[in-house]
Amino acid sequence: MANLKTTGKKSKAQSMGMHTEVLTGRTQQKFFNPDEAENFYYFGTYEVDFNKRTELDVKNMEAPEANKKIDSLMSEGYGTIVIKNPQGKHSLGVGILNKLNLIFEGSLGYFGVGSCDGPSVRINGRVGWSCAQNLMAGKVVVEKNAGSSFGAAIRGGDLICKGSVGARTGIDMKGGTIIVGGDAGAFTGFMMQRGRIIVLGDVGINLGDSMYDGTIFIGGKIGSLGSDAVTSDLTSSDKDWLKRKLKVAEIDENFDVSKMTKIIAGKKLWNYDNLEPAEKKGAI
Amino acid sequence: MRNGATLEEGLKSSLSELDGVFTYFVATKDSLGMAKDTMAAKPLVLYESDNLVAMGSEEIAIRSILPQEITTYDPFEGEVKVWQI
Repeated sequence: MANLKTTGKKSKAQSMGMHTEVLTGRTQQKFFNPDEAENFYYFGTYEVDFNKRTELDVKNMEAPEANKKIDSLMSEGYGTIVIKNPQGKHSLGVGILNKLNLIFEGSLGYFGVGSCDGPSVRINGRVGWSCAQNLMAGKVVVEKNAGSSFGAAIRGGDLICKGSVGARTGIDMKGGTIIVGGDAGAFTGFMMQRGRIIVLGDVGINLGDSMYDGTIFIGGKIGSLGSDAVTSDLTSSDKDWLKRKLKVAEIDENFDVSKMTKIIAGKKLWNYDNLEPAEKKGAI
Repeated sequence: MRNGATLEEGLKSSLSELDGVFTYFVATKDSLGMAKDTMAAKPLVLYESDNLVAMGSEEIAIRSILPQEITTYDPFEGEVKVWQI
């Protein structure tokens, strides 16, 4: 940073005495002080210890009460929470923006573990519609089957179902990975914009319908391809990635990934090139 | 069915004859059946065992009679099932 007080060479205007002020401004080089990081606060997060474990029986609780209790336990530093008797209740474990080991000893209803960012969740049961929708980061493992709209609009993280899933899996997803060990229903990957879907079994009709981007890998039979979904060649990097992912997902790591079918967007539905110039013109 | 079709045949023909999205189940004096449209837009959770079939639009309905851990699933699009009572 130049020393503004001792500028060596004077300009003609300065020589004529036209500039008498002394510039004493603070340097702009230092934008961030790491010492102040402790003052920053990310809403809904706590320091937790994964070795600090507790159980929570939600049999006689409504979902809001159970979710507040989970939040309260995290604020006490519990990093591993086991939920007993979820019994198909809706909206359990939603909105967790924290690193956390969350284990459900049973099944969840609609919207289970939705809008989460960071937790590692294991569900020893089935999940209803829209499990883990809007997941930002973390890992969710479902040991049994899942309902429709599994992983709707997820942005990141890994969402794994060891059983079969319903229709519209990964609808509107914008990132992350969905892995299904069994079969998947109709409209899998409907309007997906980014991310990857792996289904080891069969899928229903209209696979990848109106997908903008992203990749779908299918191990079994395909009912039919949706609008603008096309097959593509499986590359060696695809195969390596699939092997790694299946191993991490604890799903059939011996599955022959070389026989999988890869689906991508044909990009004939893309209208960006037509729209963007008009938008730019309007902005200018 | 009035003309001699079985319940299963009736349910299957309803998939193309009914307009709109639907999931429904129907019972006769000796059988129980369900049908789900080809868009799979309506939920149905199903539990089957050797001596019991339970269906509901959500898991929590089945849990009210079967609180223990069980394995349930969603029938796929265009699926028809019939059980003899």
